[in-house]
Amino acid sequence: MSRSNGDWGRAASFVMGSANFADDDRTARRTFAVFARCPHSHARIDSIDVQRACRTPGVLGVWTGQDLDATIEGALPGAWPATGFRGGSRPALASDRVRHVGEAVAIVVAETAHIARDAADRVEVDYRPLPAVGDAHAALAPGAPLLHRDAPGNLALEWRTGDTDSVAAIFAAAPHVVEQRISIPRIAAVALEPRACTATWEKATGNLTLRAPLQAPHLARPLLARLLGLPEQRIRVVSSDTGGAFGSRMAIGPEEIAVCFTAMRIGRPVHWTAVRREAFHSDAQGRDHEIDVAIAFDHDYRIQALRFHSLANIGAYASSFAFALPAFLLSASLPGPYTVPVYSAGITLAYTNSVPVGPVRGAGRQEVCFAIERLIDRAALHFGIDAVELRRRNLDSSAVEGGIASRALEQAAKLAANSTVKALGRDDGNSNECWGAGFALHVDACAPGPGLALGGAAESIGLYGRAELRVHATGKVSVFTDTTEQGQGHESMLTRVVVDALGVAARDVAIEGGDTAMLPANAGTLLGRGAAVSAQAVRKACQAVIIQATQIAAHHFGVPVDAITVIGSTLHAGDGSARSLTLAELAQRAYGGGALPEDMDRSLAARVSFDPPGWSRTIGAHCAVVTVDAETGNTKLLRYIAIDDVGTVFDLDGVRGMLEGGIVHGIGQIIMERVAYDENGQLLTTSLMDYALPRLDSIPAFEVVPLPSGAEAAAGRELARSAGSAGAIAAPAAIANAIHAALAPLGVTHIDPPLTPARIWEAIQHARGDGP
Amino acid sequence: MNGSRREHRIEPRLLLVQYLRDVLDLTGTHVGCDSSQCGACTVLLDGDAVKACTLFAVQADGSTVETIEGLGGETGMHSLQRAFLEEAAVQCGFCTPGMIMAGEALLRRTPQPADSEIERALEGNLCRCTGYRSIVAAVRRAAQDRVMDGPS
Repeated sequence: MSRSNGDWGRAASFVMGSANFADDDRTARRTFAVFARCPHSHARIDSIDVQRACRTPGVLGVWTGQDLDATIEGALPGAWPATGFRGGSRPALASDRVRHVGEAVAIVVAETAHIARDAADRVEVDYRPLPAVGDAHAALAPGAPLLHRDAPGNLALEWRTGDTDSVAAIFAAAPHVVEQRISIPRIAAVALEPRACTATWEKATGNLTLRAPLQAPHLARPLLARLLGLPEQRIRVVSSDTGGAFGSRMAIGPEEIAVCFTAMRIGRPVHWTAVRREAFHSDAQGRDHEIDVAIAFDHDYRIQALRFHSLANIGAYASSFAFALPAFLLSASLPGPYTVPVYSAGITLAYTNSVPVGPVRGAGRQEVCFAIERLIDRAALHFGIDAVELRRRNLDSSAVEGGIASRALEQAAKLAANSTVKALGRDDGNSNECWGAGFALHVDACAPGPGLALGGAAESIGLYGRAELRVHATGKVSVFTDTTEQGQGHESMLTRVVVDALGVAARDVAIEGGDTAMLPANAGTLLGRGAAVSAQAVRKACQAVIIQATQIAAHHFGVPVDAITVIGSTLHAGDGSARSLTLAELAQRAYGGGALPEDMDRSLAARVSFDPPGWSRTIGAHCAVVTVDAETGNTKLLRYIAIDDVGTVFDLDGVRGMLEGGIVHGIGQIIMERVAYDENGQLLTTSLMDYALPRLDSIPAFEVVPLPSGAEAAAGRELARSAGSAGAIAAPAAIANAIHAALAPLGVTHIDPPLTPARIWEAIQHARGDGP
Repeated sequence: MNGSRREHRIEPRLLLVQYLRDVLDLTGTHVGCDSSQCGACTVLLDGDAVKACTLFAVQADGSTVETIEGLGGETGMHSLQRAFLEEAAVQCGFCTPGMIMAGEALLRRTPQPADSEIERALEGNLCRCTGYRSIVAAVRRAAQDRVMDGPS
């Protein structure tokens, strides 16, 4: 073993038990916050009595929504609003009305978490329950209980794109039309580390520091400034080690605001860690779409037009990304990799009495992929042609994206045809086992640009990449990046970029991120920006530093700048002499003594931004092979093949890890996960005992292969693309197609996810005519 | 406790994991679910893997407890810790200490486990990041390394 602990970078702390997650920070004099939460899905608050809670020994303070309303200006805004978006404004603590189960109504701060929890139980609230709506259909029905006065009919947004009239005309005349209604259940991200934060207020300086597991610290700062009435330069937001994020740590919620508020009142650090039950009641949830999708085909089964509509339940309030997910990302994903002459799409967003919906890995793209890929398989079954052949026929292999999809599909099909493994599933002696293989093509539209910014409270934050690189006087390198790491491998990826560009040793490079004190406004870790944007910014910073180093070297050698040649980390005079200087020696000259021209910067450091030239699209083909036991409805995943065009691979293990992890998220979503509410909006899944997640027994044999770059690499596509969401986007579709292929001989045509054994068994009984 | 004797007067309701984290400041053992489902709090109690979120601290009175902090040290890494890094079995790192402790309990009992035995031993531990393949590979590698290098 040649590597010492230090050579593993930050990862070493995770295996040694010395990491610094939000609740690991033993800040001196810290106090503990616990929230009192509402048990009703919809109710009016008549009164709140905090006297008993306040009298609990060890309690430092109890605050209600009314206390916060007196100070906090306005509510939590959506960070990405759309024109025409209505209602949904969300208070930090509910003061007169609660709109979902688990909404916080009071915050207790005490010397210990135990005391705070006891006291929170003593907060007495008089609720007057109101009628509630649990799903989007009920919410939009005439006479439904209204959630927000400024959103009549509980309609948050009605949004359309595409050419509706042409699509309607083509459908009316099309030789073949296939259509399907597909519901995509609500899921929870379940980052394993529960949400947590520590707020520290220094009265003397007026500085507020919020430390929390966050993907985008810079998004939190303008929001805190606005709501707490603090100047932005007095607020620092730092991301602690983050125990999983998957989109759910993009934005801060009401709890972080309330914790900051209390820290400013008591003058001691306030810490809050959610318990898992609380996470199910308060972390933004994902998906929850009912999609109507239809495709018109010509006589040769070529797609003529696509029609897509989703009715999305966005919960009780507009989360920070309420619009972005269903509409912005969804429209960027349409119409998928196929040649679709014309399409139309629409989204209807409805408020219901449920936890607000936010980003979860693959948001927007997963819904599009699932609807289209399921429908392609249904069409193939209907036409009696092979599902791969129907896909092949509708891909334009001469186009850039169609070409990539086409190559990925052929490679996946070739692997899937491997007969020995195929036979394994069929011949294990169980006659009840039905074998099926399913394919899905996906487009992960991410890292948007150019010139795009977030909206709302974060309107000053562009989706640019940003990096600062400093070569220290010793030749060691610090990189300040706009991404924060939650396990994506940014540290090793960005180190690799620096090593390749500057020729320095990996152990001499430190990657820092996730702190608003390090860089000006930036977007953080979201939308697959790490490889496609942040790495490009770091590369650009390296190039800027090389230019500086070249100027200093040219001055030192007395040669023109263009005579200097750079080999690794050494700059050669290029005048026939053997003179050369290393980057470290040049750094010493820059920072140290000796004359340099006045206009030459006395440092080797660069701060750059990088504007992505357009959306980055990770395209791939996935294939799942399953057996389904017709007697029990139990699915066994045998193989999972994923061929994805992720571009330059900085670290193969890292890329495989991202893809496999995403696939396992997809396995959970399609086979077992569902956040369940009853018709009155009461949450039924409140722990990991009733919300199932994939364990080691659900994992197939993986064949995960990055697609080697083809001709399109030369066509100006960016070098590296996101591997983070591809699996979560494609796996539900590939696995659902495999299960439906297995069940097709039994007459089962469509089952809504999650495809649990109970649902599959029921569908089989129904197809046999034994159903209820 | 990781080789040394610890004595405290504690509240009866204090959970073992709270005792480790809040009394002893051993924060390498994590809490993910409060209900024995995720395994992030896995420690060894008299050599057996247990979930420290569902034991009271007083239930460990007089027992031997080992946590992630007791495995390696400043001088070097334990074979499982090294193998988890080498197999890229660490992403966010939150489940990692529990996975390693569950793996350690297995390797003490079954030094050369089959993959199916590794899968069974780690089935009580959730990982939301890696997809698990690399974790199984890490335990397999640690088992092989121990044969070559002797137990670490």
